Amino acid sequence: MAGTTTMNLVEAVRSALEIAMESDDDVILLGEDIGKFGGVFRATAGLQERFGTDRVIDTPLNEAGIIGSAVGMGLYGMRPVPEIQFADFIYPGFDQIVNELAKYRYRSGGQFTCPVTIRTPVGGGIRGGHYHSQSPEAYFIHTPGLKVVCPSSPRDAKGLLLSSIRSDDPVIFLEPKPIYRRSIGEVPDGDYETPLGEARTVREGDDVTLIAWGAMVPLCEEVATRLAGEGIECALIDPRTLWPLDIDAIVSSVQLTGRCVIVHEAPRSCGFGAEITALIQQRCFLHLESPVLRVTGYDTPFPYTLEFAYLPSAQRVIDAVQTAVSY
Amino acid sequence: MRLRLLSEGLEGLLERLVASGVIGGVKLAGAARMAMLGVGLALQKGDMLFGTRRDLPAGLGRGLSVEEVLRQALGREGDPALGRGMPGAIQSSNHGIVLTDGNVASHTMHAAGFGHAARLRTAPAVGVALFGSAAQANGELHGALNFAAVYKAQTIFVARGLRDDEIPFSEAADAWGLPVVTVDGHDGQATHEAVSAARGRALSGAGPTLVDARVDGATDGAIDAARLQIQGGWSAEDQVSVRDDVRATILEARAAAEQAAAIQDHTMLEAVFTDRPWFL
Repeated sequence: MAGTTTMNLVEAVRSALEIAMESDDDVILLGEDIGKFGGVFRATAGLQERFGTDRVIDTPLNEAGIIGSAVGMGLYGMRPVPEIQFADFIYPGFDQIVNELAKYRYRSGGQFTCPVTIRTPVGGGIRGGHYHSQSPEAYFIHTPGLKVVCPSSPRDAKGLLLSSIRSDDPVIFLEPKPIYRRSIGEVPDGDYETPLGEARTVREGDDVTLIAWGAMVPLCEEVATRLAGEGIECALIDPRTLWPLDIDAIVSSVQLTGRCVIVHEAPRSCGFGAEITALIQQRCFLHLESPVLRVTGYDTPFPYTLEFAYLPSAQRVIDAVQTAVSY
Repeated sequence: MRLRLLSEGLEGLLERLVASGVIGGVKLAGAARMAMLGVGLALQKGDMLFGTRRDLPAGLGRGLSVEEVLRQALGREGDPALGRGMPGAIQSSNHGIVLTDGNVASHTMHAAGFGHAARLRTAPAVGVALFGSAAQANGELHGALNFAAVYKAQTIFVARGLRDDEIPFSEAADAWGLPVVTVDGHDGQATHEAVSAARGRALSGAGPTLVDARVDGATDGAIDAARLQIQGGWSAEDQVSVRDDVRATILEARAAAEQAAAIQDHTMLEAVFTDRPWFL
């Protein structure tokens, strides 16, 4: 019987990649410095040594090229897993993602599929400035044909990445780099999949529903613990798969609590929190005791010096929860 | 020659359908027709043709029928892509054809990736990218040439259409690290031979080739016709006979396509994902 191993989130990503490559010769990795160097965050450390240069491919520094050639490999029948070193650098490949990868199945009436999983680190709080800190999930959620995943724990990172790689749909797999090493937990040994499209209820509660993903999940766990000391019980839901969203899990919690606070790093306007808010008001209108609130990044480019003023803090989330409770 | 006439006749019909408002715009092969036909005829089963919807003649060379093209253009059942592309943007897994209407060079990267995968699998297949002069100013073409060369991808790049004022490919071949074979794009047979040779080279593990089949002016098909006449394989009687046959083929295909049922509204929500999600 398989046991568990304590590891951090980036080690869990590496474990998933290794298992995916062991179990399927069609899985190949490609990206900048992922081979000999093992990736800037070490997510692919040792994999080229083990699987060879044909399966762990160091590429030219060309994001459109990485993603475009992954599309071609996917059309051939492989399961490429390209890495974009930072999500901030995914934009040169935006056309390949939005116009090609996402649309191949649809525009061909289902004849062609692109089972490509693009891994990329997201999020701020690492002193990276605006080219190493952004959270671009909304662009990809807005693109029909893409699944968007963002784990917040090592266990989920491994299970969700294995599911993503084995999915016949293209997946944007967003890895919250601020907690790459800070998020540590028990991870099942061996091969397992965490289904896409299923949220995780991190914490039960009947006063307010917190919804958060990526690095905002541990922040909200801290908030929920602190507020429990004041007699406010927060439920915390981590969608894990941002799209397709597990709306049922959210609805059942909000119908119980009547209050909801959504927390994300990306700018507020047209961020994913806006879509979740719309879905909640549509499905939970008569259950709501207060407006759905959002705690997000500001509608500015990501500021280097002021990044911790920009990012949602525990205090901002607490303020929002108290606003909701006292409404 | 029949294929050339068929391609011309089909384009003529598509233009008339556009003029009468029945279908959206089409892009014409023009002076690139013979090169496109040569490419299509040179490919084999398992190969994948990546082009733009201007490259329809290459699709005909690859075995696409006139009726299939017209069903696609008219949005009728029988188009495996369910009417989702503009006229000529054929997507056919059966024929190994992907003709897009996207950015000018996006598809060249797919050919590079396809050829890379085929090389990794040591499969007897190539990815072929057809592109016009407009793509030469686009970074994705340069990226595709770079990627294909670095990984010795089983990929063939074919430049077709009018030769404008771009830097000659030969000037840049050293930078990309792949050979450039120049042929007269008016000469379908020469293009066919160059692409066939490039295919053999790719399958031997020697890497990609860039076939420069551009032309300096429009003398569509004259070389192949002249060659056939000199060889005694094409007479005035042949010309009349084949034209009649082509006309009949196109009329018959048009009738069949027009009688086919229209693509149904409910299909709009199909094939976004493998399984239909709750929001569709």
